[in-house]
Amino acid sequence: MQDVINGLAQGSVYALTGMGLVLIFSVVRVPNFAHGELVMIGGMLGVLLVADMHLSIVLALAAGMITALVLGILFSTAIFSRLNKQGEVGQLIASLALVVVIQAGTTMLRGDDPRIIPGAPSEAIIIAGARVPVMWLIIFLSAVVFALALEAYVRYTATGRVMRAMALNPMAAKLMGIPIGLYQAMAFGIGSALAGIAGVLYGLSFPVQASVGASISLKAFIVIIFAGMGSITGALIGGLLLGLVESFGGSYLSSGYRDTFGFVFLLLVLLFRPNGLFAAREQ
Amino acid sequence: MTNILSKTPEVVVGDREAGLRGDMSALVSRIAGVLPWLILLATMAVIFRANDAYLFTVSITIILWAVLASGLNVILGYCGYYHLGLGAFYGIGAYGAALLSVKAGQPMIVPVVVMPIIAAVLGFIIGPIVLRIRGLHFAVATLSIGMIASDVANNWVALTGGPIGIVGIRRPPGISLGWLTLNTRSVSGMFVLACLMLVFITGLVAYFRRTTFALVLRGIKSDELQLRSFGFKTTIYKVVAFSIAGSVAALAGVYYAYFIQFVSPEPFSFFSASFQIFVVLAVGGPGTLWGPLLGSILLTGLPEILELDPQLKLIVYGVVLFLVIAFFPGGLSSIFETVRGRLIRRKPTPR
Repeated sequence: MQDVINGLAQGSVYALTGMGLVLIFSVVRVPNFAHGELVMIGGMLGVLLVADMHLSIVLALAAGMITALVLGILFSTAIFSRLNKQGEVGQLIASLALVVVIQAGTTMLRGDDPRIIPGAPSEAIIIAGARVPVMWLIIFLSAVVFALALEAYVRYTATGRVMRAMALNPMAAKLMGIPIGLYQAMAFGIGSALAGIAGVLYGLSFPVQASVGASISLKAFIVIIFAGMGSITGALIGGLLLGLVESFGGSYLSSGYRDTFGFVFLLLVLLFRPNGLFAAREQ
Repeated sequence: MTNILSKTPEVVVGDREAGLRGDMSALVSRIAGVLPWLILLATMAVIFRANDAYLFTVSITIILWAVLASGLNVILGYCGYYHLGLGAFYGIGAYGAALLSVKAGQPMIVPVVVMPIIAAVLGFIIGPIVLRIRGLHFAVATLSIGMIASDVANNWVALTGGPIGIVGIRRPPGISLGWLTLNTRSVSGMFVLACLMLVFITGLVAYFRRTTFALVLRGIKSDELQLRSFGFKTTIYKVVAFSIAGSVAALAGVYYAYFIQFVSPEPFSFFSASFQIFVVLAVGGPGTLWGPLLGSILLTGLPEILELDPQLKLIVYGVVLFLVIAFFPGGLSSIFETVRGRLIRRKPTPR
């Protein structure tokens, strides 16, 4: 039971980052490997504001969200939309370039020591014999709430409908007179803001360091490949599933190979369900 | 970018344009094809004569990355598959050499022959699984392979020594090449060995580029479905390309093990290996013969000469990558190709 709880806590973070990335990837079609860097920035900002400057956690959450939002819009308008001609490859290279610049820059500024944001509620409740820190519960609930909200947003609002249209067929959307650039920036902003929030939440219960972003990005990509492209609830379930696979593999087989279980699982999914676990149901 | 034929002007132009002017441009084209080889050999000779240990080390590093990028070029440059896990094969070559040398006491020639074969066999096993998918999925799948390899290197302590790695790889006392005996205990001997490896691999790729096989790969890159409808079994072509890439990386890994005489997981991790190989190729020019070397000279040579600290070096990498993608999407060698096109046709190559 404790493994389930551990897996769900870690999985909630994967889900939060994964769903932002799903939005970006399906609407803007940018394989944004720098997504995890925004999670890292959110976490590091939280450490800076709460631990070093003694500000409140709520403020840190807001700051993390706004910083990531601004950076996301900046990525979209200043970088990715200018590389349209270079295709997916150019975008991939650009996003990897962003990853190294952000990661190396943060390491230069702040070092690479893992730190945790202090001041999170430290109480724990016991569910079915397992210890559940309240913070984990908060992370899990926010993952579920954000997934439902995002799903509702994409499904029922006018802008959400535009984004779905762009995900379905960008060319047709453009021909219909949709200002592509604006909505791309919007999707990028929303997805990134989620990453920023995820970063602060992550930092409240797990240590963050400058080099954590790359592995989070990778997990987020694994999640969206699990889930099948373009499915937000799929990203939620996929994220939780990845967390569970890692947690169970880590405690029953070998803890050193924690990450490997996720990757092996991914390869298996690609082997047997190349379109993702939930793809058939979505279409 | 998309016109395949415009990338191989030496073949097309030489055959198509007859007459006096055609002969002239064929000659120019022939010279333009040989010239880089002459420059390369001359530079190697100059470096060898300079006999400076530091210069040797920098050159060896450049050559190592150029060879790795040439390997990646086969699957990425020609075939269009974003292989982000080449570091795994590089590591397999290095660890294999270390184990064969330290634990089994084999001479250097054994890993040089065996490891590329093992890597190719692995490619044939993994290839059919991951090559069913393409685009981003393939990139993430190969990335996973690299991560799994890193995890194994860190955790299978009995075989790999874990994070501490394997020490005590001995270079052979000397290698006789018939007319020349190399003192591989010295850096200069290792440099000559690296030059041989680079010339061998580049020569192989230069030959490979003109084969029908490479043409099919280029076809897969531009329109796989159409090629399949022509009746080509594309999977086998892709698997072979994947295996060649792994094989070349393993050879580079064997060289690395003998050069550094120590292997540990870190140099083969994603950002230290697979990513840098990708960057070198992307900056140099995917799908070109000399791109890997040009990219390697710029990205490995410059930071080495400027003596940047490791973090700043990464930032320089990132920025250079941005600039190249934004201004020369075809990579550095696209500049040379344009110049060459101008020489041959007296007007720029049509894009």
